[in-house]
Amino acid sequence: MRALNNEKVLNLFAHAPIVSSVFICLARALYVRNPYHILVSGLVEGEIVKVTTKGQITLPARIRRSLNIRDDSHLYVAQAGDIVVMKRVDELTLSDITGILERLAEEKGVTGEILRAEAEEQRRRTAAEKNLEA
Amino acid sequence: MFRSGNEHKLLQLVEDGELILILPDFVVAEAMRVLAAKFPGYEGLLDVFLVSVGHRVVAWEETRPLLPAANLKVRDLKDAIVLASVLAIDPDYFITGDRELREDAAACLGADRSLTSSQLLERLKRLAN
Repeated sequence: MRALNNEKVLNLFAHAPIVSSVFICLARALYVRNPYHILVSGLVEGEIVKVTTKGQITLPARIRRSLNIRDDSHLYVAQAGDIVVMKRVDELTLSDITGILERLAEEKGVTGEILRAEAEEQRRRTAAEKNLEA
Repeated sequence: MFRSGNEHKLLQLVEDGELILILPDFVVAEAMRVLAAKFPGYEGLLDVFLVSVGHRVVAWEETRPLLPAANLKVRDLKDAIVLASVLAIDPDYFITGDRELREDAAACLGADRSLTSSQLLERLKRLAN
C-alpha cells in the first residue's frame, strides 16, 4: 500500500469546508491509522465507475437517489491524497461561499484591488464586444 | 474582503428573501470569468449562490435596443451597457460604487433610485422604522 502524506491529506480535508465535520473527524481519525481504512471499513460503500475521454463519470443511480442529486445539481470536488471526495453543495449559504473565497484569496494572495482590476478588465472586454454587436 | 462591507449586507438581505437581485446576463458572465481567472475551478460557486437566492437574469436581447440611448447618457462609454440594462430593467434601486455611473443613472432613474450600497441600507433601515 502506497504511503500517503497524512498531513497533506488532512490539509486537503481542512480546505473542503463543506464536507460535514462529523465525516471529517471520522475520516481524519481513520486516515491517521490507515489511509484506505475509510474505504474498506464499511463507512463508505463504493462502486467502480469508468471515466470517459472527456473526464466525465456517471454517478451511480443509488447515490444520486440517496442524495437527491439531479441534473443541474452542483457537487464540490476535492482531492484528498489519491481519494476524490464529492459533496453536494446546492444548499451552500452566502457565509459558506464567502468563507471559501476568503480562504482561496488568502492562499493565492488575491487582494480586493486585484479582483477589482480583473473585474474592470472584464467589463472593458464586455463593453467592446457588445458595442461591436450593436 | 468578501465577508464584510455593505455589499455583503445587501447580499445577506437577498439571501434572506428581503431583496430580489436582478442581474444582466453579461454581469453574470463577467463574474464567472473573474472567478475563473483568479480562482480556477471555483466558478460554480456563483451558480450555487444564484440558485439558492431570489434572482432574475436579464438577457442581453432585452438590453440591446437601449444601448444607443445609453451611449448618449454616459460619460465613460464602457458604462453604456450597464446603463442600457438599467433602462431595460427599470429596477426599484440601482446600486453601484462608481460615482460617475451612479450620477449618469440618477439622471435617468432619479437620484432616489441610483444609490450606493450604504445609501440603500440606510433607506431600507428608514423604511423598516
